[in-house]
Amino acid sequence: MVRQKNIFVSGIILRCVYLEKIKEDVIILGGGMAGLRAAVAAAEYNKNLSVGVVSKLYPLRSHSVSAEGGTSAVLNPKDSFDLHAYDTIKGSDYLADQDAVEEFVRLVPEQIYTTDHWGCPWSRNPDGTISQRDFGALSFPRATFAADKTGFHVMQTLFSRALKYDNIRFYNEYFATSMFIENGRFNSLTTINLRTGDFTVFQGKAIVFAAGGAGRLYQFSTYAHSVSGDGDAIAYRAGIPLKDMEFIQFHPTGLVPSGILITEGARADGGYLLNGEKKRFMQAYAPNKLEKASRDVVSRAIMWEIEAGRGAKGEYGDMEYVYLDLRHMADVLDERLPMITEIAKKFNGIDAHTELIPVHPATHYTMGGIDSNVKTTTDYSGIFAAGENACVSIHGANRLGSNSTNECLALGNVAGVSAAKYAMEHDIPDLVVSNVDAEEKRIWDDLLKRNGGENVAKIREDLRNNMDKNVGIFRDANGLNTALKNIKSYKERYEKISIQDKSSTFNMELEWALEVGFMLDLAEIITVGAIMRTESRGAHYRKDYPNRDDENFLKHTIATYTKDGPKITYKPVVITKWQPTVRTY
Amino acid sequence: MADEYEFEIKRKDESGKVYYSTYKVPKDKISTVLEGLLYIKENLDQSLSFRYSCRMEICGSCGMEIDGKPRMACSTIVEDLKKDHIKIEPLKHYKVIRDLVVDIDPFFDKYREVKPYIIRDDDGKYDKELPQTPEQFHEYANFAMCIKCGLCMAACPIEGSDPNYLGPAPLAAAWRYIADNRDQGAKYRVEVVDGEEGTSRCHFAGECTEVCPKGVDPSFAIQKLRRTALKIEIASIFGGR
Amino acid sequence: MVEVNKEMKEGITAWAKFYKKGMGYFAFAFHRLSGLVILFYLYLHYTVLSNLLRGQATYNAIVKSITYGPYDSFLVLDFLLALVIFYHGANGVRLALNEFGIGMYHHKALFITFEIIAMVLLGLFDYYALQFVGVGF
Repeated sequence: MVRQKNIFVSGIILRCVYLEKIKEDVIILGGGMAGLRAAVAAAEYNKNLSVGVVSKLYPLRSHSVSAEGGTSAVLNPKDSFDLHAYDTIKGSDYLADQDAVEEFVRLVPEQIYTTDHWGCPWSRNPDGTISQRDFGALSFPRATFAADKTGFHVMQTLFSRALKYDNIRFYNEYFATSMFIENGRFNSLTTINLRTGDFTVFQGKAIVFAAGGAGRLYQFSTYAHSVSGDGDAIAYRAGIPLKDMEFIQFHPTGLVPSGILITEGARADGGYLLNGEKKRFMQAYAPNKLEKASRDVVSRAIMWEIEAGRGAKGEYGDMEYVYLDLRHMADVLDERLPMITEIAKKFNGIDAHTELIPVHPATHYTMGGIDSNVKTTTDYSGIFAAGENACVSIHGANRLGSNSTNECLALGNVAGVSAAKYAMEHDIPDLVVSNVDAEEKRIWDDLLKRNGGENVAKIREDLRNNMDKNVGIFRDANGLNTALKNIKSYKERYEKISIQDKSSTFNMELEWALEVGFMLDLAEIITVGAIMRTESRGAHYRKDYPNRDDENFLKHTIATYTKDGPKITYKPVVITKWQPTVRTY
Repeated sequence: MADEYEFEIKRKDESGKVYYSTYKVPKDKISTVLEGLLYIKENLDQSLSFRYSCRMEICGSCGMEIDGKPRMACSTIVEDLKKDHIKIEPLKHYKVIRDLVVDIDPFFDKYREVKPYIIRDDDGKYDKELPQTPEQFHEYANFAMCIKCGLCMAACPIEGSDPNYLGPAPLAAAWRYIADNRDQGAKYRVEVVDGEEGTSRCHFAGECTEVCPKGVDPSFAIQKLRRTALKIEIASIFGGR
Repeated sequence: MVEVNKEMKEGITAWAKFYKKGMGYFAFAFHRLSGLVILFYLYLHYTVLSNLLRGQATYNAIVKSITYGPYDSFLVLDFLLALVIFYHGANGVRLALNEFGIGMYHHKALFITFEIIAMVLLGLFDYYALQFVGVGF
């Protein structure tokens, strides 16, 4: 990797440590939906502010493009903000902060209209107004959608809009490695420019964390390969606490065997789930909502069916699965669900019009994240968080389908404006060079020089299988403790990795190694949080504690970094109008 | 048939040396080309570099020349190629950074040139949606499906002989916004796309449409652009618009 | 204009690479090649015509030598030239129509139809041309 550059001064070669510094007023970490929305908001707020979008991918390659179903917004006069808030809070199993939810739902409709004005092709009614569809666990059909490519179209719209502003600069393929806080304030962000291998430091007045979730901790996942929890881990290591990390959402319908998402819209529009005996089974688990119950409920129902021996098996190795039946709605598939018909055809050779689609619950969303609030601020000044990277908490213990893209838009906007305001009032702090040097040494003198023969990819694979098996939909003390022990052993193995690739341009293996480092930290937080939460709430289901325990656990888990692993504390949940009651669908 | 595939991959290392590496990948472990590449990277050769992300043909990262044709690695099922020996090369018409990773910046620069966003006089007032019927949506729906993978740029023969040519995807994007009834910026966009480096350069080989993984029809869009440009220019002669 | 890297450039050799290309590509590549042939013929044609400057007798002698020998083998090339012109013309009409937005949805069918018509016309042309030079059927 390029670390030293030769500088020629009148014939004498000076070898000096080369440090590339980039200064931007507002730095956005992550080029996904929340990141781009924040970038546009900040650039729009003041045209003289320079905004830098730092991403390890090109913005359009972010995982946000994979979002399919829809985005909830109260647009219809028959609907109400209270109803949206109530659905969200009930979905969260009452772990959401209710004041935040109430404020959040009021921010959403404007974002739908804004993106519409920017060119997002929201699906329409014949009269030209924006159409809305039903979605899992909604009491009113309020999911605004763009066929089943909602995330894709919104991302295209935001990216294109961002190109309009001259004050937004894109730093594509800069892999962030760490962030530094000095005097309670954001100081600098260190990155590796993947294209050249240069160690690059970003200095800025404010930073917005919008780097997405951590779903690739699991093997069977709807996530893009790139979602490795970098943002969470960077913030955590810098000292920002993470909230509610043990809540990982499993989407009921991940396509077997690849895990590609089959949107919830398929069930919301009337699709059935069939077990191995080709019979509908949701009646037993959610008598009212059936297939349209919330994701945690449906995912567990599928797993109960499989555990009871009623799963289908055979075609795809050892994995047991159930079926998604769309045959009875073949006539609307091409109009409303074009992408999943295309996916079933391309990747499985299945014609959804006439055949059953094999599905299995897959990791889909990280409810937890950087401890922030509906103003997107964190414990430290100049540091903001938005999107899946943040935990506001709107989603509590289980996110409602169609509530993530709207969070990215609404809170991305808030974060962008807040960061811009903050940047207007502050200067770029002086770089603390010793921090940056230490980080550089960590990568070049430690990580790259380790030589114990361990393969990074193997550790990652073991970690993912471990998480799938022991920290999955069903959890219990035994499995979780085994998982924690395994994670500790992976950490030891991680100390002994060898990075074979010594190239400085596009060194994917180094990127993998850094990602695995992040993932190990996060896996530990998730597992420790899950061990300590001896109750079942939302997506966190303990077989040994199958009931919700409001007396002891109606509170957020806060994980803070220490040298010996995460320190777990708790923080109360804000309750306004809706007292916790029994949650049934 | 053997139970292994042979992946012959064109490499380029840091020093600029170009060579081919061949790897054997077991058939039962992989289904798509991308899975094959990941298998190689994880098990056989850690120094292989390529771009990938969503693995569901929506992010546009993994375009490469597979078996002589630009394709997405994630959605190319190896079995469908009906071959045991698969040749993989970086996309043509782009500068190779390393192995299968190409410099895609010129593509995005061209994309930016065509003003790919809604231009309206009342920009900034977002209190209500802009009316658009499903029929009006279908006017541009096809062109909105572009995932910016850049395969069309590698397929276009004109891109090969004239790198200044805007290219299929940017021109299709220009048409996507002109055809959108919410947009009022056709005249600004036509200034960019009409001319020697724009629509006039297209000679309608139609390869862009052939290789597009999402079924977008850029060659159609370019012909439509020509017509629109002509209309606007004729109108301007008679003092319209 | 955007910055361009020369390394990207593939050049006109790409025209000759038909491997795994669609029908439109053939139409395109042969259109360009036929265009070049026609251009070449045009210069040849001018060269022959310019002999008029050297007087009537000289010109007549040259034309005669091409038509009745000893250089009458050129006539065979004339048939090839006709093929190229008919192909180029038919495809050209199709392209012009397409550029005005006519028949865009069926441009491949249009290509085939126009070429079939052109080839039928070429057959007729060849028939009468052969009769004219006295080969006869």
